[in-house]
Amino acid sequence: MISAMEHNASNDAHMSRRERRETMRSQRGSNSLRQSPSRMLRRMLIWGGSLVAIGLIGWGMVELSKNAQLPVESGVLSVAVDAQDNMQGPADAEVTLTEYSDFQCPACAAFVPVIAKAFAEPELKGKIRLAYRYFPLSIHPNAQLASQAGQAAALQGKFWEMHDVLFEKQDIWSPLSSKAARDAFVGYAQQLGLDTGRFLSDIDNAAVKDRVKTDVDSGTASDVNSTPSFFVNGVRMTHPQSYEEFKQNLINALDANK
Amino acid sequence: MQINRWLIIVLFSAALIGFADSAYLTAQHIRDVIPPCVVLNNCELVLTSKYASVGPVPVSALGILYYGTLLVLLIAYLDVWNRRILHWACWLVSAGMLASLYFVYVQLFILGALCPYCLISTLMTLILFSISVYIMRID
Repeated sequence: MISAMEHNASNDAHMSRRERRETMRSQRGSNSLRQSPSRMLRRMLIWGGSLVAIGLIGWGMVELSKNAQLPVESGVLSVAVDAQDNMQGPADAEVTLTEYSDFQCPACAAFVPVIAKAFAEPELKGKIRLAYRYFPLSIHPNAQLASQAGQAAALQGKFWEMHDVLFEKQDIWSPLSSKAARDAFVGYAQQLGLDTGRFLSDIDNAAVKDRVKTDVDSGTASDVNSTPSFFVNGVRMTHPQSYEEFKQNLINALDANK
Repeated sequence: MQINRWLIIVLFSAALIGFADSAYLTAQHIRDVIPPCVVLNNCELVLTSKYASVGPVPVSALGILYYGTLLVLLIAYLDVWNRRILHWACWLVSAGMLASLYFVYVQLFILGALCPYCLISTLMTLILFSISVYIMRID
């Protein structure tokens, strides 16, 4: 304690007069109190109690985050997959994965390589197909137009190529104004070798908008309120927390068919 | 001049709430590999943006460090009643206020989305900062 006081004294030179008074006062106060064991007990209680409380709060929050409110994850696909859908994979696949997705959603972009990896797994390869359904969320200002761009590309047989570009360049077109985003989409169409004149007229076509709306409506009717939302053979998949979980869900569906 | 006990209690509570909020966000950040985008929820947009981490460290983890340090300083003050410790806490809060202002700016003008969990932290720092300014002025 004496060395601590000496240390304080050497520091005093750097303190203003007011600070020095304050320190002196606090030292006087604590010196007289420090004699009593009850003061020591009080200090231990303050520190011990506070640190335990802080630790408990931290632990509680970690526990709480485990049960964090996830979006609705039940329900069945209200509208079955048909020839209208943008589909990838063999037509006679045993498992159909339907994804409600938003081109401007970072999570959907993150799932693109996840889905590709799962589809390439030896257990699943050639036995599974993917139907992509548009579910542009209102929080993403360019998502609706991006969906229309996807469908305009689909009319020229290049939906999946556009799908890949849109997700790959999501960071670039997401923050743009809708006019600049439209220009970007036309640029992508050109890169993909599409007829840009036709693409430009299709992107605002009522039939294209209707097609997007059909998907949104079927998603809403299937209790979709987040993206990506997956249905495996028409049954809602709980939002996977890891790649392994995602893959296992698909394999389970395959096994259930046998 | 004596600082009102209630002021310290408010400081302490705000720091605790901020700490809990940061801990929750960090746990989420680490747990949820890919949080989905939810209807009418801007949190995912904010929390998955490149502004949500400094290098590999999530901003919410910095929040834990910030509120944690603040809590230790406040406990130390309640223990030894040395006003200098309280002043350190006030300077720390000022730095926190600047960081919060920057993140509100990012949310409003760059991302165009507000995350409620982040705003809880901003509100707590605003409370802490108001009290800090008051303490610094009466001293």
